[in-house]
Amino acid sequence: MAREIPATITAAAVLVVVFSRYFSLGAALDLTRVTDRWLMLTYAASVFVGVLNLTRLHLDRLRRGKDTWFYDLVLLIVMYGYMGLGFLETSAGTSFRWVYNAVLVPLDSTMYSLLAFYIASASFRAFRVRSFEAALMMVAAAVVMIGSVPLGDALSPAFPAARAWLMRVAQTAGFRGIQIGAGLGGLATAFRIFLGIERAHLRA
Amino acid sequence: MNLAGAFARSKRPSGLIERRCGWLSQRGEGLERSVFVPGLAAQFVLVGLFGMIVWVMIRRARGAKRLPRIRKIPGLEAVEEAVGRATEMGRPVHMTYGLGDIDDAPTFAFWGILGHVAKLCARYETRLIQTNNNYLVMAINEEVIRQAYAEAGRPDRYQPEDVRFLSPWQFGYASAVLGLFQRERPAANIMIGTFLAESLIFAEAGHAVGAIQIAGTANTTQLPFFMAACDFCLLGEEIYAASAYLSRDPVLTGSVIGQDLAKIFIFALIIIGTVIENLWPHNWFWDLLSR
Repeated sequence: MAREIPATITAAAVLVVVFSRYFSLGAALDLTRVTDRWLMLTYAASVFVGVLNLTRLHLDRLRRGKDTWFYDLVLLIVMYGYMGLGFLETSAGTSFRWVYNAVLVPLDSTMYSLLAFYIASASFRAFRVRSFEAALMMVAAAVVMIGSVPLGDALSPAFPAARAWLMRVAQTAGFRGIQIGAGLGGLATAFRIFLGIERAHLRA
Repeated sequence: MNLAGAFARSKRPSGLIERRCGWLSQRGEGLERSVFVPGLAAQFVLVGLFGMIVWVMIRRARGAKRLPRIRKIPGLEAVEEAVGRATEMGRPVHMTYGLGDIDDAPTFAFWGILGHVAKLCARYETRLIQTNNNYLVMAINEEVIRQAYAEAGRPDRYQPEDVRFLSPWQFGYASAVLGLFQRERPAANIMIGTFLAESLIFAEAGHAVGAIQIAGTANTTQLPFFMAACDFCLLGEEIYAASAYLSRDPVLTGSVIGQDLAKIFIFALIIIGTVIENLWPHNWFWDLLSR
């Protein structure tokens, strides 16, 4: 029963969504608006449980005197402090938004900027000409990089043209092939879940 | 069949039901002339056809009839090698599903691999660290791992603190995983799921600590990063074959083969449609698929 009930609920939910999407009556009844609201409530509850889990984990580490105790303490103070500020001021509050704009946004930007260096180091390792395919990838990468900067256009108009062709035709064709496969794979997974065959998530 | 209009026209004494029917009639405007939502009938038929193909192959598998075999997928073959390497080095295995949600198909693919890896880790007595950015998914991951350890006969080896919720923010999660890699130094990093910009951060962090890396995602924009930075990469649909491939279950294998047959059908449809559309633009075939 521990597996049958969730599988039955899943199948019923699939039927509701399919009915709402494809059939005129389903679209008119707009049942997905109801299920979307339930989903939002579930997410809100899950964030709450996530906060409890983090609190338990880091309090436990503080209690055991782990060498990362300082960072555990900082995390708990910042998490509850910002949460308290949100309760006092709401998300439209001045201080709340200041902390977001002055702390979170720069931190996000910092992490994102790491990608520039990581792309360089990953490319340095990946673009080694060991085989025909690797050489082809290297040439394509070089053409795209040179064609993307003004220097490429100054050297020859063929570079931007080749870059545009590679991005518009070759890359798009490859991506679409993978996307079709991935889309069908997702659909097959959905069918397996609907039919109750895929049960990896129902271990109980 | 005008069901939405029929609701509006039905004679009901109650004001509440009249208001409801009036609302339905308004919502039904434009939908009144067909059973299906305009423009989605062909899609529904194609999806139904696809489902039938998958169902037929599953029936063949259940009936123990001969089925084509799934080709070798190097990334999945390497999973056991990765866990073995971590065991030899005495370092943990790390698994993540990225930014996936409980309703994402790649997350279901992740669960198929998670159970298999958890069983291997239980058998080899290797530590498995599983990081999360979604608590709903984490709740399921805990059960999958606990069950896998129990099935391997080592329920005592399950460590709940190794299934960690880090952050729901993309880069908060990425920086937490970066720090975890520096402290725990996993020898194997398995990333299967939905990834965005943090994919390369994970891959480079894994490379920096010398981990063997197996990655797979259906996000085409992140595949190039995984191809460049990881040892093994599962492209798109290969992650969905993981459950069938690792378990060797004939029913799951049948569904994967059904999926491949449906793909062949779709490609045939694309080729035929392209030829017909180029020869006779906006003809009956185009109309049929636009319904």
